[in-house]
Amino acid sequence: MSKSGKITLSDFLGVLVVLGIAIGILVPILASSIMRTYKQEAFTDFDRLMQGIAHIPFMKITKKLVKEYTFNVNKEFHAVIEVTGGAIKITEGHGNIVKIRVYAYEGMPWFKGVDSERKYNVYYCERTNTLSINVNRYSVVIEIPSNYISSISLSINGGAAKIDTPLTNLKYLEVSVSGGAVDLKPASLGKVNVSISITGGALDGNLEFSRYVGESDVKIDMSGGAIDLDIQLPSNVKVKVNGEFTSGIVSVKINGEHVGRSYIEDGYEQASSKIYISYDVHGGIIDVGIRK
Amino acid sequence: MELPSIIRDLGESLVAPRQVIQILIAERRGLTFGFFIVLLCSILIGATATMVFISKLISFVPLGILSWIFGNVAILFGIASFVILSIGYWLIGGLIIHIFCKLLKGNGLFEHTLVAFSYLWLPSFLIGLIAPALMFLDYLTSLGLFLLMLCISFIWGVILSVQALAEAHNFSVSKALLSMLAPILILIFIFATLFSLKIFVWW
Repeated sequence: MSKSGKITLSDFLGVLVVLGIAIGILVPILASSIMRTYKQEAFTDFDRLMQGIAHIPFMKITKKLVKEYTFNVNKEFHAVIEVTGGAIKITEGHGNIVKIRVYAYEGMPWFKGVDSERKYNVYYCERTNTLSINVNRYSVVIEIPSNYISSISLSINGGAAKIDTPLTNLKYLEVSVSGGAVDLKPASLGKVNVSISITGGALDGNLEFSRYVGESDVKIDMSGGAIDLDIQLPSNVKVKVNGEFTSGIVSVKINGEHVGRSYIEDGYEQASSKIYISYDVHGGIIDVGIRK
Repeated sequence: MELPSIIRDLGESLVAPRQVIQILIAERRGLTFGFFIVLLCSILIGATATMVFISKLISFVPLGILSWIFGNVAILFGIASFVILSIGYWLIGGLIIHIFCKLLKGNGLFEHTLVAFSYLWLPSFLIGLIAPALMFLDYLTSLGLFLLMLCISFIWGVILSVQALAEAHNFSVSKALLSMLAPILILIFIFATLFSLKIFVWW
């Protein structure tokens, strides 16, 4: 304040500096305490990931459709997908038709990458009944008929992938992550053997086994990165958990109760519907929640 | 009621660094002023960077009490690291800048160089002002916003420091800019030499 009692620009800026320093020190310290209860919106969510990037100041990203494929697939077909950058999204299709749309990013060069290094490859082999997709710095949306696909092998070495569709006839799901982010939200799963291998990056999953009958495994190998996996099972399915753990952080809960490395539910051996969940953790953070 | 003079000095430093550094030098309180700017602003940057880079990631996997412990350990570690690095850079970088100032015929003392160099940290209050927003925004947006603010405050800090340095050593702004860039150029030279001699391998 000047001698005349007026607030000068220097006074105003001075107050801003003091406020900025105080807020900048206090807010992170408070946030580190309350963030355990305030769960952040998962950054692995594909849509939010893309929306988030688009809202970074001066970094607006847009997409342009470059190619569209349509395949008439046979029952029990397999999908082998590899992402080394860019994004893959699997959504619900109809009939026996798989529709694939490939989009090119337009915007900041750091995101869209060097043109010569960007590539995609989409191929359906009728003889082996296998759909193969490789993506680097493109965005691919795949519409899959939920009752036609029997196995998915997904390998992510960067970028993002999302599965958000019912997969009623799926028998085998293999996910390998060494970087990037995966948002796994398959619904209406039946008896599916799941194998998750992660050495980096993050996986946010919600496996909804609403049609589960029989026996299957969920196998998790981890040596880095983060996994937040929710497994929803019908109430009659018995659960067995077995884990190996050398380093990292592991949390496994059944209906909200923590279980140890080895857990067998009463009546597991005799049950007609049961699931075996095993994990082998050598680093990283894993949180598995099983709900019945 | 009149605001404490320190608040006015802080505000005036942002718009008229030449005048403020003259006053600080004359009143012989520049070193304390500079030290507290570097200390508080490095705590601010360290805490906010840890919140953006680490705490938000930890909150992604809710682990009950463990995430609370990790969150607090990370923030303490982040603050301590930034304070040590910032004060180290302030002193060593300040010494290199001072040597260059002397080579370019500057006539200020080492103390004056340190005061002028401390202005580099001052605009980081901008990061503090947006910290509440960074807390609630999603991961990528907060990361982008934090880095953008860091760039803006760095550029503003360099402008302030260069002006203050020119005033403290009584030479031109171009000479001050050259002196300010000296530690960065030396670092680039050292790393380039080490890489060319294959002492460091990039992997």
